[in-house]
Amino acid sequence: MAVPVYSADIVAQARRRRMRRVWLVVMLGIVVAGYTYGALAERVIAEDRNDLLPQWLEAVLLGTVFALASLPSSSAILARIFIPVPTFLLYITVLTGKNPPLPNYAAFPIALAYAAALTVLSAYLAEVPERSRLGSRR
Amino acid sequence: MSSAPPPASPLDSAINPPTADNGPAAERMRPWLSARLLFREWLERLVQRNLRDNEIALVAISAVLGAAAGVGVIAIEGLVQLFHQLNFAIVAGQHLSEGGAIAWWRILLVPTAGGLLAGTAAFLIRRRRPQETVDAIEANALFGGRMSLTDSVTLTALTMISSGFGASVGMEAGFTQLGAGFSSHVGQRLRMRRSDLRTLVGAGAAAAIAAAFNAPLAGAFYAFELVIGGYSAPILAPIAIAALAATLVVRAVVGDDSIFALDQPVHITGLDYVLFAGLGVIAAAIAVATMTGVTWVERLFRRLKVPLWLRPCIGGALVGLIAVVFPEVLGSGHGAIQLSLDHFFPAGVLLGLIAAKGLASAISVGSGFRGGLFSSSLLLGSVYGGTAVVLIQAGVSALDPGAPPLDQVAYMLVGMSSVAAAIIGAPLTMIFLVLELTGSFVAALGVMVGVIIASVVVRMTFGYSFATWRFHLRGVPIRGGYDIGWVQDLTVEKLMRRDFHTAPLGMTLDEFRAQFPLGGTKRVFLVDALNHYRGMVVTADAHDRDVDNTSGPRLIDDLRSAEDQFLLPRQNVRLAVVSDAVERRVVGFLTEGYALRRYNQEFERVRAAELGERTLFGPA
Repeated sequence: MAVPVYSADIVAQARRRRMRRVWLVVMLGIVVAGYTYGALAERVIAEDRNDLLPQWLEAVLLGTVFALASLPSSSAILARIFIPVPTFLLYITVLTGKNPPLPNYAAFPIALAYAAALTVLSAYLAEVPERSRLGSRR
Repeated sequence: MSSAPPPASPLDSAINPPTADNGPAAERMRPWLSARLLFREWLERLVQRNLRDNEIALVAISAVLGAAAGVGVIAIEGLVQLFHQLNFAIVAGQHLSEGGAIAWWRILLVPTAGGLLAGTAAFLIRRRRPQETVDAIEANALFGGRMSLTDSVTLTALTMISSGFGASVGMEAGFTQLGAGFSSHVGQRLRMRRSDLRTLVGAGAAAAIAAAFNAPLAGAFYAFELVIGGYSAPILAPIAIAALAATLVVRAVVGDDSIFALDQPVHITGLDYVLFAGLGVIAAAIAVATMTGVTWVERLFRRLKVPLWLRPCIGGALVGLIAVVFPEVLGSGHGAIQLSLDHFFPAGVLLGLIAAKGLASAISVGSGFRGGLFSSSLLLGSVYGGTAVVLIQAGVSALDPGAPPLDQVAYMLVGMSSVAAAIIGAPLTMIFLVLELTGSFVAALGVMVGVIIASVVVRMTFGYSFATWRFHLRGVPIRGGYDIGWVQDLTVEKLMRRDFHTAPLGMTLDEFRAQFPLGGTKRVFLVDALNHYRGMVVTADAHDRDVDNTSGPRLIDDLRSAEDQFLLPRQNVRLAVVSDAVERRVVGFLTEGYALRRYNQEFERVRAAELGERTLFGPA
């Protein structure tokens, strides 16, 4: 099958679209990291602050994983594996450790909702095309 | 020969409506209707005689409307506070965004229920009134200040529902819509001129903002910068008086409370001004991210094909999830601003609040809750300034452990006003707002640096404020309240000459020459016995001696042209330009508006060339 040849401006347009998409993902990764860092700082109960890693590192890691999992690439699914469980664990400590703490029966579903939201959003960002790809039938 | 009856006067139409039942009830109503119509006619005459072209009358009307807007703002704020107390079980006087001990289930459920209510209400309203609500800026830019009071009240009610149920939106959009809409309605009833009506719309918006923030200067400059699109001496008095009247009403009824108060003076050193400039650059980035975030959320909902009525409900649920962790994002954020100024939050919480407030605002507005970003941008900027000062202080202390501490409040004020100025597109408004709320010239000076930098960066990189960005997305070609609608209002009726001459069909050439000599009128319009248009004759053609030398026409009818070409009074001229009369290949089109614009451009170019400048007014 012959590979279609596109004019320079069409290729440049496609490159700009890809860059915009990567830029969006990076920005959202920063937002996720900032949000998580703030949420972790809301914890006032000592047992809930007993983390494996420093708070800032946990937040940065989650933001980075989210950004990688949202990239429009087939390998993004590898990063997406690491979103649900860490998110759930981090946010369960936030919800049960904040002032006033949430009861467990509320904290668990809400932490699950956070984990699901981040996973679904990253899948959406990675898989839904910004526009029809060049040469595609969409 | 029958002739059409003369058009009925308003009085006749009202007394004898064509569809009215002329029974006993109508007979009883007749004197009342007559009296009402007579009173209305008398009022109109009085208004036209005494109010038009009367600057003092305009100022007096503005003062009354300003006071009314102040009362409206007090009533709306009271109702929204009542909503908050009922929905979130907070005590009277407590701001929703102060957080406190709000039950988690209320935080989750109330915005969701509010979204369902707001979405359903908006859906039902849209079925009855499908057109987009015209706000104060659009009204002044395109419609000569004409706004619908019904639409304004509806939009204000939806904004109240949105804010009352905890959506992360400000009430200022509702305040200005009501103030400007009511002023426009009164102006239209008084049959004010276009320019005066625009001024009244500005006065209403100025009064609303002045009342909302207890800041008359900020209110007045809000109107100048956004709603009117410029400042001129004749509009100063009505707008300033309206803002002042609204502020005085608020101070008389609810006191001198403002959205925040400082308990210590602000200290700014030379280095701070440099840092404020940097703060302005990042504030611009936050502003652009927030504005585009709203669009992104809207696009997401559209792509997922979520029904319009359901979008605010989903948005409310998401806001609830955010607010479970950061309750400060609920509502307009006034309480959280004071909280952040009084209790300096740790950097982590501030960083989280920036992300949370930005997300919550984008989700709220993008999902279809009604409201604006004025208050949200103030809180967003305030926590951004707080975060920045903590980080800068850490850096400065690491470099020089003996360095004096930075003034945290000053940085929060700069961050607050820079982000808000960039989002709202009103730099002077923000400078005056800080000046009026703090009473500190030092703070205002510092704020000026950040605000100017943020505004310039947003203007150069993004090019829109939140309001003009929304217009851009809707395809409305305006960049502010500056009046461009007059061009669209230039119909044929307004442009046409009325000093025309007619001649009857069948007139001989000699009669025509005698009646219309050369040097008189250039063209004469032929009419038939019923006075209907039948073509046009160029006077010079009729006097051409070549016509006499041929055995050609002796009647004027044979020289007529353009029988099928004419315009109607209400038309806007939009004509295709074709290559020639036979082939008729389209090569362009022409409108009056474009012709006028091109004329202005050419005039500007020639004048600028004469002056040795590239342009007269600079780039647009």
